[in-house]
Amino acid sequence: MLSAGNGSDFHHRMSSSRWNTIYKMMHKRERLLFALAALMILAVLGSCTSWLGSATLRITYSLKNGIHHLENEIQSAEVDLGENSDWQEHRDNITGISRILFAFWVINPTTVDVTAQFYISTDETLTTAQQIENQATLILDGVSVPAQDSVYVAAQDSYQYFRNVDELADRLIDGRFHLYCISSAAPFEIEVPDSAAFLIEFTYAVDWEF
Amino acid sequence: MRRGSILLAVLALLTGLSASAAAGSIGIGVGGGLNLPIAQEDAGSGFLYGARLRIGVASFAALEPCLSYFRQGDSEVDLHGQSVVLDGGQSTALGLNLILGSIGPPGGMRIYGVVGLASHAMKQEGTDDENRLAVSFGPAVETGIGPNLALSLEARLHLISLDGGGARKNMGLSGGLIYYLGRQDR
Repeated sequence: MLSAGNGSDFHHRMSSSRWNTIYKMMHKRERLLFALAALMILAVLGSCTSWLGSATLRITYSLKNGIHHLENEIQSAEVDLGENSDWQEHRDNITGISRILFAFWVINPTTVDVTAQFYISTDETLTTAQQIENQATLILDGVSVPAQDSVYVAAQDSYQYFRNVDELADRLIDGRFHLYCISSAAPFEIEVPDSAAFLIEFTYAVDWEF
Repeated sequence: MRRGSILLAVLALLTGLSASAAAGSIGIGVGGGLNLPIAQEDAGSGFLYGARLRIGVASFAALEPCLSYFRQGDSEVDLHGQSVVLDGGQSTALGLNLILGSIGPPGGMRIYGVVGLASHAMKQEGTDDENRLAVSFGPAVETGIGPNLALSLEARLHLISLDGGGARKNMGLSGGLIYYLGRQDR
């Protein structure tokens, strides 16, 4: 016959044993969950390998010649990023263009204020402002130039003038196009000297070769 | 989306555990440090700081809702012989970290891993503002410096996804203090 004290010990042992069992079960469950969590985290990180294997580069591309819009003449400039060795090296692995900036002078020799507009096209034979407006893509607009004056737009200030940035990025990835500048008002005379330059930041997938 | 679902499933499983001393512990932390871009020409070295709430959910795991600010240093580029300074960018991140390893009240040296998922509200001059998904991971150490206070150091790689593919990579080297609420039994 069990004494009261023995009975209490018995219940205590039973209670302790039950908790031990629960603790062990929990311990096992935690270990299992730890392994499961680690596996899932590895799976998440594994799917980020393309993020790990990427880099961002910046290139500068200066126009080889100036561009202008006179009443009877339009001169465009060819942009060929293939001339840049960094671009050429990574062009097949480019995943996106993250920032485009453009630094340039605009000269207005006329006696009226004008607004400069920049267009791009793969067609180098556009010869009138109307053709450019209809067939090319507007990429910069709103650069006001006072009469008989010039304006410098710094690279870091150029973003506010950009239009159709996605289309410009697509053209840049293609690597080659023609840049036009036209004046928004008569007498249609505006010049952009050859100091104009694009700053392009792009991300590319690193080609792992061992 | 799929990645987020997987991580949320893990977190949901872990929150079901509550049988250890570490489970249920709550700590409030602040910290800051260096933010070092890796393979990024568009940014220089910057800094980061933030606050976190650490909730122990198992003997080996804790969850950490956190709010952080990342500043990337400006970068310079030479244009026709003139130096042009371009904004490196900044982001505010709201995220959730999963802490795996030795966690619990302040004591001796504890070592654990941190895996984080966050949404970064990114701003950089010359680009549109955007929200991007980010993943981070890295090791951390923590040591008690008082009954309720611990000092932590961590080295974490932050991968902030970019539109079109790839990611901004920043190594965050940071230190901070974590204050654990309530009486701490070691």
